[in-house]
Amino acid sequence: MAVTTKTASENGAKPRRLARRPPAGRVRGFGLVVLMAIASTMMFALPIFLILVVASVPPLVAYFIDRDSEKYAAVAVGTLSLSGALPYILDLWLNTFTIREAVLILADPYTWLVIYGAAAAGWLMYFMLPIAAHIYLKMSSDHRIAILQKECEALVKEWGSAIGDSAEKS
Amino acid sequence: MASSSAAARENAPADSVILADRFEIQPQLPLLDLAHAHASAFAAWDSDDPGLPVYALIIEHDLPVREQQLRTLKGTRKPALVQPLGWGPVDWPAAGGRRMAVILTRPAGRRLAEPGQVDLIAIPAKQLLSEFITPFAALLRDLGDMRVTHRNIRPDNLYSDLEKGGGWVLGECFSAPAAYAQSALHETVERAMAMREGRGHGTSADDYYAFGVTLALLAMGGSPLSSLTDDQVIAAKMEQGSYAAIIAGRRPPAELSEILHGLLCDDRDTRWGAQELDNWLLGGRQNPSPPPLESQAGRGFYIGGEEYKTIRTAALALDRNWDLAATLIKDDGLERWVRSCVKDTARADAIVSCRVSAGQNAPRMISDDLLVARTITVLDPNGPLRFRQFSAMPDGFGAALAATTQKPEIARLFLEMISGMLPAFRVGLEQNPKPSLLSLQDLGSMLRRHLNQRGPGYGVERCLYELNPNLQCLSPRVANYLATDIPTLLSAMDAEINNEEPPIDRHIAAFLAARLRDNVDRNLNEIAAASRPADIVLSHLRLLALAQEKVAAPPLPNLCAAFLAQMGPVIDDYGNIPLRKRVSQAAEKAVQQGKLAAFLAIIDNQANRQWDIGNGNRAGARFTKAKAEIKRLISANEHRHLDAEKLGHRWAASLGAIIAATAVAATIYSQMS
Repeated sequence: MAVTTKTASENGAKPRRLARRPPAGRVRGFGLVVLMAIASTMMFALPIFLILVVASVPPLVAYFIDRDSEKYAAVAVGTLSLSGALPYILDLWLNTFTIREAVLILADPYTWLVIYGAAAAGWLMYFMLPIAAHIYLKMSSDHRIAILQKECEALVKEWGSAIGDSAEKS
Repeated sequence: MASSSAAARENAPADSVILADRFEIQPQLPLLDLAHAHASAFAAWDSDDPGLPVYALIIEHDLPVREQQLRTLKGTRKPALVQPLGWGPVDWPAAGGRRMAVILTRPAGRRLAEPGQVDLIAIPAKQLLSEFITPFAALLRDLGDMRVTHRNIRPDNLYSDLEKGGGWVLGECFSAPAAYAQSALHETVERAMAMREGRGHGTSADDYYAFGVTLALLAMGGSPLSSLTDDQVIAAKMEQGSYAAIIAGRRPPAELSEILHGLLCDDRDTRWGAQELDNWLLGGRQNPSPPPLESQAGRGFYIGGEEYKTIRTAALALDRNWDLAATLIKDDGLERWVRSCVKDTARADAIVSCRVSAGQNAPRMISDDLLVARTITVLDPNGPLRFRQFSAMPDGFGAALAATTQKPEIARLFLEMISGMLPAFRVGLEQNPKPSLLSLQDLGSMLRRHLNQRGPGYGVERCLYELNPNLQCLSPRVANYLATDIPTLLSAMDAEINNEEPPIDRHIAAFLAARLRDNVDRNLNEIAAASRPADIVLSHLRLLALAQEKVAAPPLPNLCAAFLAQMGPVIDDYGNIPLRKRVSQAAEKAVQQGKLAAFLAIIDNQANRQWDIGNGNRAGARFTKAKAEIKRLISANEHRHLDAEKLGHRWAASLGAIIAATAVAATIYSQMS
């Protein structure tokens, strides 16, 4: 006996929007790498790990509050936050690679100001650049429409208004 | 005569009418003695030969003149016959338009009789022999050799100065269809039964018959038949035979008895012709025996209360009582009478077969009118083909149809007769039809083919021009020009064109189709199928351009200008506006040349058309695509904030990565240095 099957759209139900998520295996592998990196850093570079913990707070917060699947907020805030922490990590690495020195760095409010200031700059970019993108897109669209309208006017001038009528009919 | 002609010319008023830059016609000087009921006569002069006495006939009807006879006899020197010198349309002030004029040599003397005159002066046989029979026998022989029939021989068309003496002259025969002016008395029984426009060109035998009737009237000073109606004359000839009916119990001169018997013989095959007449003139005795009269039935057949005892008189009575005829035929009374009283079984069987539509090309149904027409044809196969008021000999179809142009109801009868295939039926009555009869079948097929098509260029109008090769175009737009050929027609159209309507009507289309030697069916179908204004104008232009090119007609600037004025829809068919302007400008220049073909080549250039269509399609596709993109962009603007947000966030992430990379590089660089 033949069985007819209906798709969700044929049943009238809205198709479920599938989130663009990476495959579970890849997530699991990426998480393992991160855990191993964290563990390695804890074991072999604890001073740097301390600085990174402080610098990772803003991107983590951004990661969790950003509903976008691409997590652009985390990337924007994280890259700037880590950029702010980079001079201190390099200072530790090249000069006095001790926990005490790391604690001294973290004890300096200026360090926090630099790292979180950079993170704030990341947030600022995240919120301000869509406005710039909107302006850019509008200008681009208007320019393209103007070109197309000019082309249509030239065609009507050469072929008459009937070309517009036929186009509208079609 | 020559001196009086010259004197009259000197006294002539100035408002004369000129024909062909040669003949001067004087409307103020009518010649009543030379006029006919259908044509007025006026004094005229030939500038090429001022001493020659000539006169002009101005034709008062729209029927075709006998142009073939005019052409054949022009330039021949026959003292016993008026000679045609020239003819053509002239502006005739009294008619307020144009009229056909025929210039003829002017006969000396007066008419031997006035039209309609019953009692004539009897002329002695000796004088008739010397002045009438001998010269006119030679004339009729010459005409027969030239294959020309006169068909207008009667006493009131003979001219002589009886007091002064001199040769007799036979009057003209060109100004109307053959035998148009003859009374039934001067026509054979068969041709007299046809409508007078449809008596046909006939043969020499018909001229000899009219010659015999004229001789009898002149010899006896008239005939009692002259005062009878045409139907009474025909009936008398049928019942008694022509000789007995015309002589009417009187005694013709004994020396003319033999020739009268021979010329008035009702059987065309045994009637005297040129050879018998020559023999008689040379003194040979021939003793012609009159053909046996049609046998009379013991009991007559009653039609409309009258009794008819012969088949031919019954046929004539059926024709004259058409509405009653169908009933009489259907109730088998006629067939029984023919079978039992006339004892003509074959004809009775033929009457029965009239009701049957047999054969591949037979009409689908036999109407009452067709039944009557077929039955009359069976009863009198040598008579004209009759269909209610329409009756014509096959060689008189053309003029008969021309006479119906003002009578559409008669034209409809002609159409029904041809559609009913009466000509083919007539041919089918013969076991071994003569070639002349077979040509009737071909003629019927040709006419039926034209009548079956309804579009312009076909129908009754096409039949009219096919049957009358010399008939002028009867289109109301150019009727005044009497255009008998295509160049004249095109010139007339050029002079009379207006911009309000397409130039070709049904008459013009049929005239062009009949006169052009090329097959123009494609053009005619194009005209019939055209419905858009552009197609209508183009189809008319194409046919006229073809006509102008084929006959090398003169330039037609007005017609070109009129077409240009109507070319709006055609030029607008080009999509490309600059191309429209170029075509329009080129067409305006071409108008001055007046060549329709060149004008058409500009307006309807195929290369331009293809370029326009191809590029127009591409431009349309581009326009559609651009409009769709504009629509999409405008629609996208409504959702732009979402796209902008996403793009801005991507920019932020990218910028952050760039800044981070730059910071790493800058830090490493600063530490290294």
